[in-house]
Order: sequence, then structure tokens, then C-alpha cells
Amino acid sequence: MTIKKVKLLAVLVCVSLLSACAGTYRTYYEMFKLALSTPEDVSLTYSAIAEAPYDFMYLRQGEKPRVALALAFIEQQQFKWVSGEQEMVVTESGRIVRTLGLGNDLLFLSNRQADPLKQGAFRGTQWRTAADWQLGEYGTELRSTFSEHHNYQLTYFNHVLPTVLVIEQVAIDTKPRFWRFDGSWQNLYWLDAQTGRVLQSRQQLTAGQASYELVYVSEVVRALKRRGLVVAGDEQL
Amino acid sequence: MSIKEFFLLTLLAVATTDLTAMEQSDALTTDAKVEVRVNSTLYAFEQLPTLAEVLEPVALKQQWYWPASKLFRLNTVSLEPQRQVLLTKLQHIASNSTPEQQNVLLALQAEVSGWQLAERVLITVDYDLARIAPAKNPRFTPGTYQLLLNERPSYLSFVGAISSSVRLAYQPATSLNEYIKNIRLSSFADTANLYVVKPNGEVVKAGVQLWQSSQLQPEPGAMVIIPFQVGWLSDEMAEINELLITLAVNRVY
Repeated sequence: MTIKKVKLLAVLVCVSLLSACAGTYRTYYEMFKLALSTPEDVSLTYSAIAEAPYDFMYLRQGEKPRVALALAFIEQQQFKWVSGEQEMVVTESGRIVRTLGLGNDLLFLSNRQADPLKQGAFRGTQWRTAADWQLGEYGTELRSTFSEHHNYQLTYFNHVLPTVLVIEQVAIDTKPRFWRFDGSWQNLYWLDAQTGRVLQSRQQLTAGQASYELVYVSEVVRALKRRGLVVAGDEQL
Repeated sequence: MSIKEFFLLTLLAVATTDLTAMEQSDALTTDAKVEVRVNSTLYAFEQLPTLAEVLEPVALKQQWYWPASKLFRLNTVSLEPQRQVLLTKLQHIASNSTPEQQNVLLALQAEVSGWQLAERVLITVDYDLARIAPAKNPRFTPGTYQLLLNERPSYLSFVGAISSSVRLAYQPATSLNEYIKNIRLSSFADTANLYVVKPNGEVVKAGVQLWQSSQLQPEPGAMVIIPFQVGWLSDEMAEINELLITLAVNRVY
């Protein structure tokens, strides 16, 4: 075999190896593309949030600037939040259960009725679910263990709100399609200590994906009002 | 972005569909009629409806798995001639084949004979997407349609160069390679050139002999076509494979 043929063979092997991982690289590419698309953090005033006819949520994906989403529909126990760019994030009891328009979208999450976030019971609780992803992963099995930690304080509009921090330790049970380091991670949910409603969370939906940081700003405003705390209308969050 | 700009953008995203629909329906008050059978219930529309309008009465009745939704048009060109060509070719080859080949070909002939066929409309059917993205909310043209909505399918179908068509229970995060191990392939199955008909009608070529494709995970509800080796009886088998894929895409199931 000539040197030329050996080189050609080496190139073909490299191309084959790269094409085998195309799905993963495409996922990262989509994330990277999205990360560059929004210029700055959105920030709304207290009065804008309090007087809006819709609920608002802030969402940050990874290192991307924060965007605001409006609650467009409440259906089948799901809250459907839309952005100004025709994207949708669907939440149930504060957990993201579906996305539309975010690149490699989460299509489906199973066993949602048994989600401890819905049940409100966390101490030592376990939960199993399976996720379908748009770019070719179907039925990826996830196993979660929950713990709760009281007396966490979050500050919004210069007022402190007492919260319960729920930590969800997530591990992928499915044998991965591609070798990876990151088979487990933590999701965090801060619940209003009075109502148990989620005020803020940090969620990673699958391995290798950037976290989503969510702040339910309209719920925050309601929590402040419920406690009789006064905020100047032009104060921003 | 100011709060006013954000409100405007958000409202536009949600409301543009309805606005567009209203403007167009004023202009489209024709005698044309749209009938859509959603699963087993028939809905008639006097004005041309958008996809969201068609889905609105049924969208929230169950937890539909939108990626497995299928839309067919019933009053257009018939696929029956193509079916008859396929059945005739299968019969012709079977009459000159070994007993094993005959069994496979005649089993496929019986399978395809029982298929309900209609023209597949290759659009994304998703109520949420249709409501937030005007481009994903097309208006129906006059005609009769069949819309199939499903909860998440729990099976995969296999058809083609196998002893008989089979439906396997869907296994989470399982590659096509693993499923094929449980299929009784005929000796003339072409496992290097499998075709996966995704529930949305898209066809993906795969092969369990090609290691780089073996990790492909078929969607719940997908139909896997196992073609015949073309070298077996050359051109005629290639035509059979092509016809089988065409009919599978347009199969109402």
C-alpha cells in the first residue's frame, strides 16, 4: 500500500468517527448558536410586573442573557410561557417538561404525575422519568433523589423572602449513546416558605446541556404583596 | 428591550396567528369546505380553517404526543395504482422463487393489501407550535382529511424482507441495531440499507451493518422498512423497495 493510500484511509477513518458523533455535535452547535442570539439581560420594573395582564418569568439558558417569557396558556396543569421570538417553555409545578424552538427541544417527559414537585414531598423522595429529545434520543431514563433545606433567604426588590431549597440529584440510568463524563447533576428549586410555590429554580434537563435559570417574577411580586412589603414602582429586578 | 417592546413582541407571537386567520378568512369566504376526521370524529368547516383551528376542539382532550401526529388528505390522487404495481411485482417474483422467498414475498403482499392508503401531508402537527409560530399554522385547502392523534406510541413496526411483518414493544433508548436482533430476517434482507419512516412521515436511511448508523434510536411509533437486496433480482427488487417506502409513508395507521 502506498503512502498516499494510507493517508486516504486515515482521512476516511477520521470522517467516519466524526460522523458517528454528529448528533452530539449538532446539539452543542445549536446551544452555541442560541447562546449568541440575544444581546442583553431583560429587566422589568416592579410596577410593570405587578400591573401586567400576564404572568412573567425570567429565563437564562447557560451563559446567555436573561430573557422574559409571558404566560400565554394554562392548560392540562401546564403553564406555557412564550418568548417574543416564538419559543415556548412548558412547566409543571415549576419543572420544565417541554420546550419548543430552543434547538434540541425536550419533546416529552414521562411519569409527571408522580413528580415530587407536584406532590410537595421531598425528604428522601425518589422519582424516575424518561425524556424524549428532538435530535434523536428517545426514552432517556433519569433517576432523581430529593432533599429539602429550610431557612434559605432570597432577596428580590431589596426585600428578603424566606424559602425552602429543594435539591434534586439527577442521574442518567440509560446507557449513553456516546461516552461522557457528566452522567449526574443537581437541580435546585427555591419554594416560597409560605405557599410552597416555586419562586426560582436552576434546572439542567439532560447531560451535557447548559442549565436553565428560572425566576417566576410574577409569583415573587405576589409573595411580596402577601407579606405586605412595599416596593417602589420603578424598582427593577 | 423596553417593557413596551417586550409586550408587543410577546403579544405578536401569540396573536399573529389569529390575526392572520381573521384577515384571510374574510377574503376566503368561498363555498369550499373542509372536512377533517380527527381519529374517529368528523369535523366540518365552512371556511378554510388553520391548523390551530382544526386542532382546537380536540387538542386538550388528551395528552397527545405531537411528534406522532399524522395528517392525510383523502380526496386526492389515489395510491391504488402504485399498490397494484407492487402487488403484481411481488406475485410475479414469488412465482419464480424458492419456497423461503415465496413465503416472504407473499406475506408482504398480504400485508400491503390490507393497508389503508392516503396522501400524506408532510407538515408538523403541533397545537402549541401552531399557536405561537404563524409559519407552523398553515391554512387547509378545500378537501377531506384524516388527522391521527396519538398518545406516545408504545410500539415499532417492521415490514419488508422478513418472514412476516411484526410490531415490537418500544424499548426506551434502544438502538435500531438492538431491535433488529429480535427480527427474523430473510436471507435476502438488505440490512445495510434500512429505512426508518418516522411518525411525521420523514424517511431516514440507516443500516445496522454500518457501525456509524447503528446507534440510531427509532422514534416511538416509527415504521422500519427492511428492503430486499437489490442484487437478488436487480432492478425489479429496487422498484419493489421504492414502492414499499412510498406506500409506507402514505399508510394511514
